[in-house]
Amino acid sequence: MSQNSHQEQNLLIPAFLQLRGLVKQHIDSYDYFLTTDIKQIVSSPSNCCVLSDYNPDFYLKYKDIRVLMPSIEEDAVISSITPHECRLRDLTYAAPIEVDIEYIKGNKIICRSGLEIGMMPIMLGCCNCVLRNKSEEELAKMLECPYDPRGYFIIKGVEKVILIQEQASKNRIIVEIDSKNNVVAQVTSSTHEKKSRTVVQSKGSKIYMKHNTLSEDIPIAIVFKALGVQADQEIFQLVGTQKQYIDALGMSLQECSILNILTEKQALRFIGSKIKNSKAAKTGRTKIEEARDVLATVVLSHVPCENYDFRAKIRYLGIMVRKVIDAMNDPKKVDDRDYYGNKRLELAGQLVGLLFEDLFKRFNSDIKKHVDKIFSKPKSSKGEPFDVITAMNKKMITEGLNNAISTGNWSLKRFKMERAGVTEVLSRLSYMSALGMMTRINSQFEKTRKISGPRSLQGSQFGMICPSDTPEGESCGLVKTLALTTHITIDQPEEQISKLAFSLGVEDASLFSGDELYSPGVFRVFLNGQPLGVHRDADFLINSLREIRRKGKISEFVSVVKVEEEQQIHIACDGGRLTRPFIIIEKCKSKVEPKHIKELTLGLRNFDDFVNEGLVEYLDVNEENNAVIAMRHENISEDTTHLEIDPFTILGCVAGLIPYPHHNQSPRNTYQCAMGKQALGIIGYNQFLRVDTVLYLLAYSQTPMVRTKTIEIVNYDKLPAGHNASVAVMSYSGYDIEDAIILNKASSERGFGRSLIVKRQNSDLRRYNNGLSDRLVMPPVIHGDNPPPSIKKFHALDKGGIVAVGSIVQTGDVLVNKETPVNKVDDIEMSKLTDNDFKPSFTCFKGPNPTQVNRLFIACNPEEPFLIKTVTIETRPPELGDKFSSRHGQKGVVGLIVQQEDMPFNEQGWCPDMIMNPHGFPSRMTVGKLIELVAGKSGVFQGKFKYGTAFAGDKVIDCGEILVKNGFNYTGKDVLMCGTSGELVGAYIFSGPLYYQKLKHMVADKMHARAIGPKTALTRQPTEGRAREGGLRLGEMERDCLIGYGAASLIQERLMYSSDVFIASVCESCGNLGYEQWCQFCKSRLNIVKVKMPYACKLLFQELQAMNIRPKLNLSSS
Amino acid sequence: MSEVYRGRAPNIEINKITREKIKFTLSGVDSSVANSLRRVMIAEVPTMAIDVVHIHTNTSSLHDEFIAHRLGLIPLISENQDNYDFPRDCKCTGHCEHCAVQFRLKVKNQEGGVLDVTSRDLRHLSQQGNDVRPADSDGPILILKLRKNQEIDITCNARKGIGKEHAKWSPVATAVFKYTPDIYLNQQRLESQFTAEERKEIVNSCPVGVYKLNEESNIEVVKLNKCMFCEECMRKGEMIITRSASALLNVHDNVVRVSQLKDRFIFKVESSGALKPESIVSKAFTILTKKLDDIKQLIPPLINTR
Ligand code: SF4
Ligand SMILES: [Zn+2]
Repeated sequence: MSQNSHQEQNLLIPAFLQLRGLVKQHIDSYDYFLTTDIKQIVSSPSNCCVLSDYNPDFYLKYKDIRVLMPSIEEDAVISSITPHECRLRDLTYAAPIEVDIEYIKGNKIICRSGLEIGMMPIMLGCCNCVLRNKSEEELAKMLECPYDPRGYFIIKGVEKVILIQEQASKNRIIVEIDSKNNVVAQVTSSTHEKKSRTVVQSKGSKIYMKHNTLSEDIPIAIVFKALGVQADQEIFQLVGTQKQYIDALGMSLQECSILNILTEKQALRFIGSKIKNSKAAKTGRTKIEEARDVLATVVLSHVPCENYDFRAKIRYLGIMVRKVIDAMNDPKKVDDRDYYGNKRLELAGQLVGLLFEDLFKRFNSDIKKHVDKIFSKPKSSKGEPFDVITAMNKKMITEGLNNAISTGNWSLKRFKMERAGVTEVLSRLSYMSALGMMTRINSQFEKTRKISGPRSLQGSQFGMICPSDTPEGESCGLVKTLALTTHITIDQPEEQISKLAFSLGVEDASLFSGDELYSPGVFRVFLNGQPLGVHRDADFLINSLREIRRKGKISEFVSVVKVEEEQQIHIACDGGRLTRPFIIIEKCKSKVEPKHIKELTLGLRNFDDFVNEGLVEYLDVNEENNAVIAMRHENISEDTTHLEIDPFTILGCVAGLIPYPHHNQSPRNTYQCAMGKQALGIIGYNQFLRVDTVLYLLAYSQTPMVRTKTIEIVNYDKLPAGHNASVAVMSYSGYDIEDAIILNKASSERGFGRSLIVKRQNSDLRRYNNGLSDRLVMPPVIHGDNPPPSIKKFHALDKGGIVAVGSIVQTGDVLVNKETPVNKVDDIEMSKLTDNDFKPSFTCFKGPNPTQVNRLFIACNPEEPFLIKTVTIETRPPELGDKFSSRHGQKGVVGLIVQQEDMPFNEQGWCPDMIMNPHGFPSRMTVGKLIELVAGKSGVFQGKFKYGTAFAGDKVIDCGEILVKNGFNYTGKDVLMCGTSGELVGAYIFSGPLYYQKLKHMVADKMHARAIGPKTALTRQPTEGRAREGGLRLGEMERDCLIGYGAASLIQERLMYSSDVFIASVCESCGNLGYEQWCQFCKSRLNIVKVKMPYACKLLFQELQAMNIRPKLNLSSS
Repeated sequence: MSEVYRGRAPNIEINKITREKIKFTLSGVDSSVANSLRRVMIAEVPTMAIDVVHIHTNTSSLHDEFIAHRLGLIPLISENQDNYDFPRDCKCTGHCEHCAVQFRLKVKNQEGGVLDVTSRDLRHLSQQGNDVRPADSDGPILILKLRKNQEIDITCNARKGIGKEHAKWSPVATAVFKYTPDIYLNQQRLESQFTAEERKEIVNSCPVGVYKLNEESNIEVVKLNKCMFCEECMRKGEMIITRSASALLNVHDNVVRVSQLKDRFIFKVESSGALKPESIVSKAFTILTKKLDDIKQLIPPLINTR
């Protein structure tokens, strides 16, 4: 029974993902931005109006803002657009931003609603996207794939993803030990307006406060004094009156008296004198005023402070000092920086929100500048009164957003923040690579630092972050992937929660003296890291809050955590926390009962119902610490509070493809995660309608025999990338060393491993400033069978000058016969134009094999009036050297392609598609692969898919039984006969179906050789690299070999004669280089001789001469 | 070993013929002969298959090369392939009625819905060559599907070729042989040293059910030909002996022994549909003899030069 109900409860996961989807976090956050955040930004006091310094009557006030549905304005007609149209036409999928404003024009108040101030890029699938809540059929009408993950943007036809950014949490105190062994408590304050970092740290036995605006560390007692805490007694109370606090603070307090700072004024003056870039002189304020201002607005800026009421800040500072002292006494109290509870993930919504606010501020300041300019001039009484709408620059916001998303450079003026690499082009190499990218987490950590801490797997990542899916090499462990059921929270309003907390008996901290805050049995309550108050019955508060959450009265993502050691209760409702769902256990019984699951399967319930009825709840990383979570039903004990929905959800979607991953050595799973993204397959149902630069597809892609739950959940079974190959694990021919595989020629001819390469080539007809534009010309007529290559390359063109659909083109063949005007600047009379005014600039095809032109697109967009896209499809059967891999991190290249009759066969007529060498197994320890084969083989005979889900899946015993029942060996071994001799193979061969992926690395794209070819202009040496048809380098090591061998002439031939030999004229008398038998130095041609040298050598001499160094050549004849 | 075969006449015994399958026993030959027969059947019996495809119109969702590949793999009935020449042997340039059969595939979906284009839509371009047509005994073969207003217009040439060149010309789906099993049961020891229970274990160990217990609960071989040499029964026998720990017994002297008769081969040939299974076999023999004949042709000059 427990087995059964366990099996059933994992039905919750598809339900979860159906509702939330793999990229729900992106979409949720963007929805929040479009519906809530954007309104808050515009209505915030610093943004909501524009005033003029010169005209006190003038104002412009924003009353509302909204983002409409995506549309495009062409020829003054506004029409709605679909994402696919944007991809095809290189448009931006964006929607107008409309504001309602009220402003002064002349002396009238004017209200205007629906004024467009720019275009907002729209995330696919968000609430303003046309694809939202559409059925499969409706999506098909819009040429969209129903399984596309969405959650990305389309900017100028390019799909861009804003990666999830990992950051240390804001507004929380983190205590660390720095390199000098000092205890450092720091808090990064972040509000809409400001970002700053405040540090309280120990230095020896004293405690200081550090801040960016202050040039020096300030003794903590002075800070307290400056904030208005007069008595030392009071300071002790704020931090703690126990002995250890008094002892630790003693020295710091002494410093006050040493510096003779006893009053608030003295303290403020002291701080005022330490302010960097003081503006006191400019604004005419005193040092004291300035210091007070800094303390109020910059130091700990996230702690509210109105009218210089510093009480909240004092208390906060007290807590920080207390933490420092605690950590000084007990190193265990130091926080773990890599702990995931202290991390926040930033999503597209937040990032675009930051950017938009910045741009909006700039937009307003531009308006203000314009307005000021107008009003500063003496008013002309005549004419129309000034209308502020004319000062609005729509392009600024539109282009600011587009540029940031398409380049990935996030520059926020007000935080002085510059961040690069925030966005990436969505990889469409395969469906999995797109999915993997949408769930990828980018860390802000520098890649170059060789520190293992942030890279290693942290205990708190369990279930939230995939332990397998991370790249190898420099970014190992820094780039992570979300696990299957992880959800990232979005910001929730605090007011409701704090009100609730107070009505549940939290007593406001401001009513207490410091002393009472720290008395035993009293728990301090924090909301999002801010002290809220105290509570005397912690369990009551926690249980009631959780109960209310389970009842659905407050958001399901609010977390309530009790920290026993510190006597603290943390309530969190901020955005960016990682959460995941758990089944609630009460009194050793799962609240999710079989009847609920039944209702789920009948479609009477969805995942939200489970949450709303309090059967399932979300826990964040911190709250997990308060929970006792059973992995499976069997593990439930008396203390258990929660149950995992299914253990396989600890893996992400890419690692979820691996069958039996729990039987593999862990690095193998990581390798597969990297390779699964390179596997060719089906990209989406609309793959042949897309016009990506290159698309790699697999013909006849098959769904794997051995599946996992994840495969079905992420729809990999519908968009697979690979073939179920019949594999014999045996040695064959010796062409299979080093993981090479042997392929059956007949199999490849029947379609195994056959890939399609869809390439797009762009060519646009530009219009120039002088009114001329590029033109298409008719190709020359081809006569005879064997025209010269210069003519033959036009063979594929139609009369219109564009390539004919269906024709076969080769490298060098012209696709678009375009001509560009020679003069693009001056005005030329159209009637006088001749053919000589144009020069050819045709677009040519480039590719290894003859390729068929499949489609042509002719489109236009606001930037390009005539855009021609040529799509070619090349069919490529597997060839020697192509790379294949199984799903267990075992890659290999094709070593030999063998005729079918030479392949081994069994008596039933089975013959392998592929032979793999058994040496691949012992050192790799990929037992999962062995099991996949046995399971797959048994599935074939049963006519059923087998499951290799992590920590579950079909058992080898059962699969073996099925094999025996069908007349096969229990262990999956067969008796084979040799194809060449007909004799029995002298061993039993382990054989059966394995899912093999064809990887994108193909010989045809890499093969390169050259005899003669281009040279670089500067050094006259051969070019480098395949793309430039470069030479193959004879490097230092090769040179050393030749020297060692004594092959001097060969070296000379390779390094000079075949490279950049140059005959220089050298003057024997002065030793300078001459030119054409003439020495400019001696002004004579008498002593000139010819010397062969590398051109690079001649170049060096000349460069030295340019630096006033004279290389002198002393010539002698041997 | 070769002594065994000497003086023995090769023999073929046909066990079963159906429309698509033939099973026969070839005896009195060495494995080299059996294997050459198998290899010739796979790779050298010529058939007709679509080889050159001209696409005039294609508005379907599959691209041209994809369709061409699919067309090539359709088995064409090639019983009369002898009437055609290999394209390389034909005197014509391009193609003629001696080396090619032309088909046309012209379909347009005008009704709406999804229209299946199958091998039945392949029409001969001329009267000649009607004997070469898509194999149809298992129903039509799907080539592609058309949506409303999608259209396809293709002419293609079927040409003669062999499986060595491309798998589409291979007439067989499977062509395999196996050795005839030879099972030796040491009945005497089985009776004396094994309990009835243990004998049953041996019987049950065989995954394909070669053995049966008879009335006296002795092991009997009932389906000898099913044996696939997995040696499960041998291993079981050994296991039981070691288990009973009669250290005196010679473990290596198996009570059950499975070996192969090296001169009897059970063939199984399944046709792809292009040729009748029996004609595949007989053609394979013709080709095999022709190969030998070709070699024999070289002998007289060799002898003469001696
Ligand atoms: S070798 Fe295998 S198949 Fe043959 S009889 Fe023994 S157990 Fe059965
Ligand atoms: Zn000179």
